[in-house]
Amino acid sequence: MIEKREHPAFEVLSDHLDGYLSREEAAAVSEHLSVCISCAATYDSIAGLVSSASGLPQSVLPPDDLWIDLRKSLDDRKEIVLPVANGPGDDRVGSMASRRMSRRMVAILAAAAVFLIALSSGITALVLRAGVGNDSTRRESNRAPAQLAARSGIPPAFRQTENEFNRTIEELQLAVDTQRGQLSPETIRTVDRSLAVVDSAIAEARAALLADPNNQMLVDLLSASYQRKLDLLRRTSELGSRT
Amino acid sequence: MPTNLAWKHSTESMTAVPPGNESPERDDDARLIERARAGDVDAFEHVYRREVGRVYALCLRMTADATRAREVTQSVFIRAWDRLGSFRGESQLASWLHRIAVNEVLVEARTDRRRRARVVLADDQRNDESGAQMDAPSDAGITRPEDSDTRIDLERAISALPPGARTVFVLHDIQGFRHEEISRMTGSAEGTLRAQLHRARKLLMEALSR
Repeated sequence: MIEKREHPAFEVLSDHLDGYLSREEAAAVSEHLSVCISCAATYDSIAGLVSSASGLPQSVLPPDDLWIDLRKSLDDRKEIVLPVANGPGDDRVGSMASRRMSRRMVAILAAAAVFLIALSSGITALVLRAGVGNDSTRRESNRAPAQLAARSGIPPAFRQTENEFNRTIEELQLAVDTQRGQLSPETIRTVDRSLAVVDSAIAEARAALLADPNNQMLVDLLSASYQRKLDLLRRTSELGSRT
Repeated sequence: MPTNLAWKHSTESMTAVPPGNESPERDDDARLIERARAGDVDAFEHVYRREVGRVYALCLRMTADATRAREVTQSVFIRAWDRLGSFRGESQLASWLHRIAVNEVLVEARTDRRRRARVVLADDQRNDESGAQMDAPSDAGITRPEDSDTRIDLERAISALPPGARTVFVLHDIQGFRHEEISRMTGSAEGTLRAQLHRARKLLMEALSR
């Protein structure tokens, strides 16, 4: 309880301004402010500061070229198929539709797995072909990714993109993990198989890129693998939320 | 360290608009979002042009660093693009983007703290605890609107606040969030947030009275 004669602390005046004090405390502070010039001046200063802060512009223009960089990033990611929300009734899709969706989903996932196996084989072929007649390159590609990272590294231009991919993947993975109970065992098996194939393709493309950081084709292949994983997780997450 | 703070206030919204209280634009939003979901980057550019000022202002004030603000703003719109499928129109587009922006800045701040901690461990020369004391930004790059010296002084003083106090001040006193909302966003206890806000206000009053 605040005594009427006691000078309230700065924190109390600040809380009083924000309306965080109890009715009794607020009444005591108000009464004190009506008789204490010093505290009233401090209170007015806090109020003035808060008023100035709330009046600061809510909009500040960024550098003009920000959109150009952003557009480039978006164009790179454009291949990702975004799920379309169909409205508030989405969560109540009937079981018939869900089963139809499950079968379609399984077919899509199976196709994705085949695609990734082909992609993965393509990377292997590419790396091996680049290494023909060059034992040192072949030895490099057989090293563990961590060892290779220490020697060369992912191209700086791709590093931020990769971080963004990984963050989104992490979030989607979390969403999928929480929805596993809502998916059929058949779908879960297919998803897990496809994810394993995608992860293997990512690891392989990454190792190849670490060994040959200036190879744009490997950057594209790695990017495509990440996008495929995002797509897979996003579709699975969407399916989980509908069933 | 804050670098090259460039406060170019856009003319389209010089007045404070608390998140969630924007004028109704849902029909436009719905059409733009529908096109953007289908991969139309031009439609997304309309969203960007309309909202980037508010997103960048938040990022710039919370990071107090133009380079980081730019990176975080870019991340916000990339995240928004990736998550268009989850935007169901129940909240306004501006509020939805605003939540993504706050989250991105907080994630970036945590990453930055971890990065600084690693640097401190690796190089014992620094004893500055998580960069809490920031240098006041220089005048370089600051565009002063003709009649807003006081406003610029306040912006500079805010950018020189310790990160925790700055975050709470920006979210509470500029963006208009209540402590319980900030608590949900940051995971900090309301008591801690109130203490940070008092500290921020006290430091600002001292800085502005010099």
